Amino acid sequence: MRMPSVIVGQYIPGDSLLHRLDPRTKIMLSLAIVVALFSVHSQWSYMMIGVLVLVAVAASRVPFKMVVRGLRPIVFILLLTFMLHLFMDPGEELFVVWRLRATREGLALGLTTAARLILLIMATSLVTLTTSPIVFTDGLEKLLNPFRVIGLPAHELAMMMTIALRFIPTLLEETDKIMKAQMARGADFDSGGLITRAKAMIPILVPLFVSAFRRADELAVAMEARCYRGGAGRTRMRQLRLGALDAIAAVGVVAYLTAAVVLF
Amino acid sequence: MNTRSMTRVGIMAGVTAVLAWVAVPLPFSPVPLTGQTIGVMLSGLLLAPREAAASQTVYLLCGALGLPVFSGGRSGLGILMGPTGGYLLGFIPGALVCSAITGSAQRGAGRESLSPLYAAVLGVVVGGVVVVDLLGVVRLAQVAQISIGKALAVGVVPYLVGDAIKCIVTVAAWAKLRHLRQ
Repeated sequence: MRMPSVIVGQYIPGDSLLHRLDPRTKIMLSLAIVVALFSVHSQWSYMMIGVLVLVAVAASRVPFKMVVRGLRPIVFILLLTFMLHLFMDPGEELFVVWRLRATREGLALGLTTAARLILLIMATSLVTLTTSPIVFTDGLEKLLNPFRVIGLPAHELAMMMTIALRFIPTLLEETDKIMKAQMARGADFDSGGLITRAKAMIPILVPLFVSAFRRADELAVAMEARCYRGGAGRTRMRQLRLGALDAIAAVGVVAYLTAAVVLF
Repeated sequence: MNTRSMTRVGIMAGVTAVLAWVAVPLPFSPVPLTGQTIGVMLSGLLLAPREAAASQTVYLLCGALGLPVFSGGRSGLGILMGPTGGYLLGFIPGALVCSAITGSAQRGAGRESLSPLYAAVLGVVVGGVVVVDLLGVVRLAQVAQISIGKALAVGVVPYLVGDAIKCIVTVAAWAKLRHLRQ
């Protein structure tokens, strides 16, 4: 089984400008870029946002290779979308391959759609590349806090995320153990027809869920035994602070994005 | 939400992540059978509606903050915002709907209502397949700027056989796990 590094995820430690920004600033600014990408239509606007994203990549000092790697999962969809636009959109004929007509309008729309997708992925993966999961969770809890008034459990969500983060490696190990135990009893996961293979998943799923629920209930008992009583009145070891850097970045990026949307 | 619900939700989010990595290669398709939606469906079958929705929200948030919890070890906000993000966002209402359908059958036990087995089948098909694919296709069409018909052809039809198999596996596992639901 593939086992990607779960603890750190995509995070690349560093001390660049982007690393030093508060997680809240980074999350909100990447959302601002996403909103801007969906509200512009001119290629000049795309180019302006593209420059912004490239500047951010440079400021993050994350190897460009790592940023591009984030695009790998969408290569297929990117190509498919481009082809669909190129050959299916009506318009002025550009060239013909077999029975497919490529159009000038299709080429333009295909290129802008591809640019939008690439910028979308690059802008958002920069956040996860420069923020450690723990800091991200803290930032998210702080960002969601105002929504408590409408009943959104900000602290609970952050705590449940921490539990998930803590237990993913444990559960992974457990799954591995269960698979080996079933193989020792003669289970075969790699051969046979479709039905046989699908059926082979059941002896993994059942023990995995039984043990996961047992762990969850034990954890609840352990937490309550240590007087866990939710987020109210909790104090923190790591405090998040918004600084001058955050103010400059927020004002600068929002002004630039507004210009990109309004100018063209 | 009490502590017991919170730990169950957190750990079910973890289980969904683990299932996303369990890939059974299929002989006839380049797309392997991944367990991600099995996690969605079993959350719906084994947790209360609010908890089921919360567990998938937590799962997606873990992925959003860069942990490789999505199928194929993918992660990041980009995947959620990208063309296939709709399917992932569909996990939240999917698990909710699945849990609501099966929960109503459990409460109505004894009265004239669906038998738990039919409710489980209905729950996984409606919650795990219809709701998830609906959101997935709408978002795919929107991001890729293609028609809903084309989005259906590339984003749903090739996966229907796999979805049917996953539903059967899920219900079979549920039959042995149903005592876990409170």
